[in-house]
Amino acid sequence: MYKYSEYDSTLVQERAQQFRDQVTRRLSGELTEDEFKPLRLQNGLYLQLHAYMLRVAIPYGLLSADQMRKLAHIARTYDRGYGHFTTRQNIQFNWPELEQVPAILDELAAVEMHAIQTSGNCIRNTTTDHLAGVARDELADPRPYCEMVRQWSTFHPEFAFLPRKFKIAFTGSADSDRAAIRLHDIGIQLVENENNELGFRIFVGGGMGRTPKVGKLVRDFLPRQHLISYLEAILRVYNQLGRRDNIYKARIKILVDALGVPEFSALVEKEWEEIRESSLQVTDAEIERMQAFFAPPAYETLPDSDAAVAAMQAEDTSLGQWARNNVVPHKQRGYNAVVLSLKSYASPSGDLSDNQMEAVADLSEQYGFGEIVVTHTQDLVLPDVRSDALEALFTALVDLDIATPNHNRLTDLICCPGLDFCNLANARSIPVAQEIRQRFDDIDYLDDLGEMSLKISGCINACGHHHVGTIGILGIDKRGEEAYQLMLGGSAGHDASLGKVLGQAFSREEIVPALEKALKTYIDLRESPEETFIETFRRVGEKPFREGVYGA
Amino acid sequence: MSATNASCFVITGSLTLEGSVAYLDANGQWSETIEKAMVFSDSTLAEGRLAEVRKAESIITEPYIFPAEMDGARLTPLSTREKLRAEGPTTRLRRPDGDGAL
Repeated sequence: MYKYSEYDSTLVQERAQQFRDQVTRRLSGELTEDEFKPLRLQNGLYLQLHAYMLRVAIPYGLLSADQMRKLAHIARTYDRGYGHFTTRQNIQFNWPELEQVPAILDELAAVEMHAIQTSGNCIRNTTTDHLAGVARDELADPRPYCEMVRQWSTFHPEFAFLPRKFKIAFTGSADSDRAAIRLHDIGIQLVENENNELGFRIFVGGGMGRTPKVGKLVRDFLPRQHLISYLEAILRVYNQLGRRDNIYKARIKILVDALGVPEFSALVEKEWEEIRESSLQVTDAEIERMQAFFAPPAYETLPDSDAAVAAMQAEDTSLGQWARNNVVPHKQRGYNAVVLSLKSYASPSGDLSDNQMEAVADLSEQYGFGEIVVTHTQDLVLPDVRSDALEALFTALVDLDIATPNHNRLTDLICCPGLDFCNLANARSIPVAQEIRQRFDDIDYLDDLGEMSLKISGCINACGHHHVGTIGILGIDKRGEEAYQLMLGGSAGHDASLGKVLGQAFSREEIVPALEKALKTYIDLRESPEETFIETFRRVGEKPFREGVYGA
Repeated sequence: MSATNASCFVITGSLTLEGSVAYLDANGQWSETIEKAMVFSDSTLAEGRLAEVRKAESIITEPYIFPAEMDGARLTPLSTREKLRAEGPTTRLRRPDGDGAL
């Protein structure tokens, strides 16, 4: 993984020192909240419903064992013993006191971490496929390019006050998009052209929130050396023309829609002409330097173990269920990627205690090369587990309650903190998620339902990605009461689509039974057990589902 | 400040140091329990007091008024949001290993 240069270290340490001074001035009354708020937000510090919340950046979701141990230490020392992994592959601490935040930033800096650009109208943490570097269907590892974008965008003076926040995601896979790139301000897919040269396919203008949009293709092939100059051209057009008069119309997706793709692309190309041959051009040497940080670890030469893993997956045991759902094929013979489910039946999606974090750090060293990946679906991945270690790892994960075999199943649900914690939310989401997990706790039933995604947001801002869930649940305020809309048909993959609201909202008591009816409708309508929920929905449309849920 | 069905009004904010929920009490101090909140029967009176407490920004952040009702001796916010602020998160535990309630 990337190692900080002296420049990086100095920058992060100085930023922590600067924030210490700003906090001191806030507590003395020298700074008003209006003056302090933009400063704290630039350091990832929000003021939520019950306390401050510090969002820490995890670039492209990649953590070392030592970094995970540091997060455990912070959770234990400065917070209430847990952290919450988010849909931007970051982690949030929900209870820090203001006076202690500079000390937390110092602790983070000591392990090459920070909270910079996790808030505010700037370029946020770049995300990518949680299987980056190990996926069998990967064309090339996207992480070196993610790191280039991180370095380019960090404290970029021109893009510190964009019209709104800006999110970039990469995928290196041709077949599967596990990073939801079409739902980002810029989505980037690594591709090859007809000469087998590696480059990028660029999508712009995707996003969720109150005006969800699927990103539009603006360039089918961008040579690698032009990545940064082309992104800079896009950002310049957005910075100049994006709306600043209406916060709800300020994202780039609104600009792309207003101009249309041809005009937007023409403006970008014109801007790009000006800077294409500048120092923003990425040299082959720089690409190689960056790739070296993400070179494959020292894999052992092992025999093919696919048959042995398949045999384990065929077992009618808890190990077999877990191996079927949570063990993912690896590009290196004899190894697997393992999904650690942070979706147990007892706790909110994405939560992990200090003790669990330390144990996961230990396991990453015992059963891998000391790396852990945070998924945008609020799980963790141990990316390099030998096939002959799977059973022992499973036993350890069961003890930690992070072995729920529900990866890509109904209860593997994304869930925002909702009104229990968030200042923006209209309705609670965590209790709905917990009721769903308790109601649907039969793994055989979940397996029968097959691959699907359920995503819950407590408000229209869509932190829980409800627009792109096979099933989405949106919390709303209905005359002062919490209510929930049910949406069907969303997808965050290469076949990205936005879910459709099925009908009028349900009360808190009604929403889970309504979900159950939608699931029963799917089972009744599917042509075979192999036809997934989304395939059935796309084949038959909303009407039969509406009838199944609301009655004919 | 007005709210349908509101019979009274309360001034609240977040303590600047801790970030925790606080209510203005009858002594002009900030209490972390709603039971000690000063109750204004008139929104105009509450607005006047709010303008004063806004000057103490190093102690309280973003103070505002919310409508409530008296149910006997019990003060109950009208909105779900304020009920949750008063009572805390309804998720019993956040530590997934169950070791330690909020």
